[in-house]
Amino acid sequence: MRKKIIPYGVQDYLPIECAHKNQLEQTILALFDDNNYQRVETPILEYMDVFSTGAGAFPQESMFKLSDNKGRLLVLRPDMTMPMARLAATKLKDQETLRLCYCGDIFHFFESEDSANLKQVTQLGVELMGVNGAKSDAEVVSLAINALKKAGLQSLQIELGQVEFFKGLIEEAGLNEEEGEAIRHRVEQKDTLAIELVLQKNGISGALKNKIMELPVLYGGREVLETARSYSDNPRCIKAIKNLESIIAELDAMGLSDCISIDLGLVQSVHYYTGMVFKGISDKLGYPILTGGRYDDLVKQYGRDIPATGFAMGVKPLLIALERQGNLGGEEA
Amino acid sequence: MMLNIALSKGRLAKKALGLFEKCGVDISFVDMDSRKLIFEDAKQQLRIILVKPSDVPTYVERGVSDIGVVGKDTLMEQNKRLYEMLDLGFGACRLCIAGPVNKPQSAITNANLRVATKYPNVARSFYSSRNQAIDIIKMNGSVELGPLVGLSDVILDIVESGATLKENGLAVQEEICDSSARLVVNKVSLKTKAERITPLLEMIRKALEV
Repeated sequence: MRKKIIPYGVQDYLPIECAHKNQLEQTILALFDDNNYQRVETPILEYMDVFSTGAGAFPQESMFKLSDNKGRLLVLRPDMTMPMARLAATKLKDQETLRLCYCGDIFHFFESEDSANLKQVTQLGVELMGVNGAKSDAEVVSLAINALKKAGLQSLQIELGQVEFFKGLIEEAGLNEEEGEAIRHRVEQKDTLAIELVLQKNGISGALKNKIMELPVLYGGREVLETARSYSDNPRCIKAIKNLESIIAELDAMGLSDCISIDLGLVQSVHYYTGMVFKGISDKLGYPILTGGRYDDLVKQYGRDIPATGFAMGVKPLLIALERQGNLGGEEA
Repeated sequence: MMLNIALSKGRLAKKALGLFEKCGVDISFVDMDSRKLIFEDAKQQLRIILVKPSDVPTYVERGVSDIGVVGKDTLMEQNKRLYEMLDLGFGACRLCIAGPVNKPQSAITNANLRVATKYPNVARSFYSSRNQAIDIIKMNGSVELGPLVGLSDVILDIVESGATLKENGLAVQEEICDSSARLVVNKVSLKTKAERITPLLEMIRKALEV
């Protein structure tokens, strides 16, 4: 009998925590609303196909599966951006520019008993679809910064990256997807030794090898962009750097660039992201509070070819960071 | 700003402390002979904890420790989200498959190769990369016993000198990879504590070159 307990990886929110959670969600949703982002809700249950094919596909084993009465596979949604892309390409296809926001739970099936992750996670996020360019990326990043500030988070830091810089180097090296993926994985871990081994195996040497091996240490302040620019003559890489410079210039104009740092080794889920990527971190927490970026190839999988950018933040990590810094009440930092 | 370091209790910790000392860190506040698990130096804003080797990645992944020193074998097994930034060179060994030197031929074989190991994840990915079905027998120590008492066909374990294998009538059949101590860093700390971590990494890099 398991009548009095709940499964591993989920939680009850009792009155005090629940009140903080709701208040935080309302505060941030109000900010999204002020910025003309329309809130939508999508079902928790969706067809598995929505998430299981194309760029950024979730592996079967990472999803909670059920079936409908015709035996077709359904999942508890593992992601919020894909349903937003589905909406943009179908029911909202007449809107040229979409500013959507959401607050909802996603579900991840974890095999491991020792996981830092919950199986049910509440996410708040925005998607800006139908527009391209640094201005729209800056809009999304600024919204992320303002949301964290409004929540009361001090010492927040936004790490900016650009996956095109990485992709440019991989293209220059003539590596296929599998080899590129092997390197991406190592860059993500900043494991220079392993990168060198993969490059050697693929016969890449000289200047190009050195450039790729620099990736893990291309992080820090804006000077990183100078460094990166100084050694890349690859047009795709240069375009990526210019894009980041434009985004930072936009953020400068808004007075929001203080908390920006650069990491060109930020290459998480590179299949899904196609341009600028970013993470929101705090010295109060050992893992990111929010992640986001540009994903121009995603909406087209649902039948409408439009560019898009956005972010999602975990409500729980933000609550933990706020409590650790001692202002869970949510007063302005 | 306090810098938290997790070290693998035992030999690796001693070597790591030696390396830190070479880099100008005063390590006199750490008494390896005591039974204390946590050592703090307010002046240097440094806290060092001694934990079981297989727990180092957990402390660092969850951000309780900013930096850790742990063997590559442990990292491969656990596959945590960390920055694996430096190969410290010491603690060198090889991850190998080993089996009995003289195994009598048997007519009835197992469909699944029985592998005894402390590294079930490494074993699973190694054999699945060559499409071989295996039965993993997770052990916590004295893995060499497996083939001797008929519990397993082979073992997957770290081998340093090979002396233990030899004394137990086993021999290396295949090397999977080399392992040595790695310096790992929490993904957020590297950025939020950059002013502490970057210079330390730089000094360690220099010390390793000498």
